[in-house]
Amino acid sequence: MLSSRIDRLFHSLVVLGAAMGAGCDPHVEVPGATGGSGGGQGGSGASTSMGGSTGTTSGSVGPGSTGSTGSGTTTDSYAKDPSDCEYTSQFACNAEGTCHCDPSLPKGPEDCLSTADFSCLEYMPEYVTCYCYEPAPDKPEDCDDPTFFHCAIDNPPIGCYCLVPIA
Amino acid sequence: MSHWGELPEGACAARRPLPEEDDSIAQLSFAERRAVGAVWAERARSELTAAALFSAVSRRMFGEPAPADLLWLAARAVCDEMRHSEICRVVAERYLGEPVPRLAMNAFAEPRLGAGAYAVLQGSVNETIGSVFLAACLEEATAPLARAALRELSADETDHARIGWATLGASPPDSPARREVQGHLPSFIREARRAWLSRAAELPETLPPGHGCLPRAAVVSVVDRALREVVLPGFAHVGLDPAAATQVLGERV
Repeated sequence: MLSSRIDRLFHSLVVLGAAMGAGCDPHVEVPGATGGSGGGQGGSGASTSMGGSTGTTSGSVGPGSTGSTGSGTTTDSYAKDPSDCEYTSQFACNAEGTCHCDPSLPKGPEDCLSTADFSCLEYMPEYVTCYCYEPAPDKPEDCDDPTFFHCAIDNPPIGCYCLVPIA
Repeated sequence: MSHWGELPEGACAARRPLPEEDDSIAQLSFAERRAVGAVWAERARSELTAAALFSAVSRRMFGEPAPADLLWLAARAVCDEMRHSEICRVVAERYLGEPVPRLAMNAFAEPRLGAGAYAVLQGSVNETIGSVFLAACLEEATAPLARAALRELSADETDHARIGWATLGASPPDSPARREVQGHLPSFIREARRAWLSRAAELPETLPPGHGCLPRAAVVSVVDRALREVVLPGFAHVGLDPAAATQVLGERV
């Protein structure tokens, strides 16, 4: 288990840290995304002006995404913290900052069609608020420029996206 | 307008409420509670030292051109580490069952390094090891209070480590900062490893599982894994040569 965390840490600390210093913003705009799923205070608190969570989407993945079951139903149980949920990836907050455990969200990368589709607000220290985002690229060739292909975690590829260069 | 008394105290130091109940603590023997409490009390001291180090790092960074985001992170890290110290002190109190006084900071010797190299030493080496260490502790922890506290610490530690890596990312290939880091890399690794292993040497050989405290041998293993699998490959990732520093891992401390 620690091995997978170390892999995530390498990406989160080194790869994204160095990229931020070089002027890149690790926040990724996901087409079809809607805002409101709370990072920062409402989420696990790792988000910062300098990136915080790793390879994150800038908002929750909304209409364009599907959960693992696709039911879209949620529980009525309120949660204060991702650890209140059986799976931290199912912790979700609405725009008002009210959070709950959403069983329609994937339990882990393996719940998505491809691990590359598993997109979370945070990947470290745990997966928090995750969705299966099927349009996510699975491989470099899925991006306009293969060098724009990046994943929050490289092995296996998790939370993948195509960088959007700012002209 | 400034507000006197903004220094977070007790459980208020955590961004999210710490659990008020944790039955797993009461299930420990008196000796086990003392042992775990002592580890958390030592962490409180260590976190306060980190606050002082970041105050020195940020002071130097403000003296040289640095990206505003980096200055913000480095300055914020001082307060983060002070909060962490308080969180650890509160957890120690819960285990020990008695008040643990707030700590006073002792004087420390600053290394003769430029701003960039100092940020790399603290972020890319010390805080990166710290991030892996906290991940290992979090993985081990099942007690609600310990898990909540470790999550608080771990979330900020990510940003603190990035201060070093971002500093390297912001430095051109042949910049003085990079040359200084390259020249000092073996000593950075040696000193950080020695500091972590010295702390580990003070730990018991066994600790009750589930409370986020690794025993001595486990800490040694995690520190060397952090260096071998994250820190040294990280330096290679940003274009520095870690070969000489790699030799340090075989040294006896």
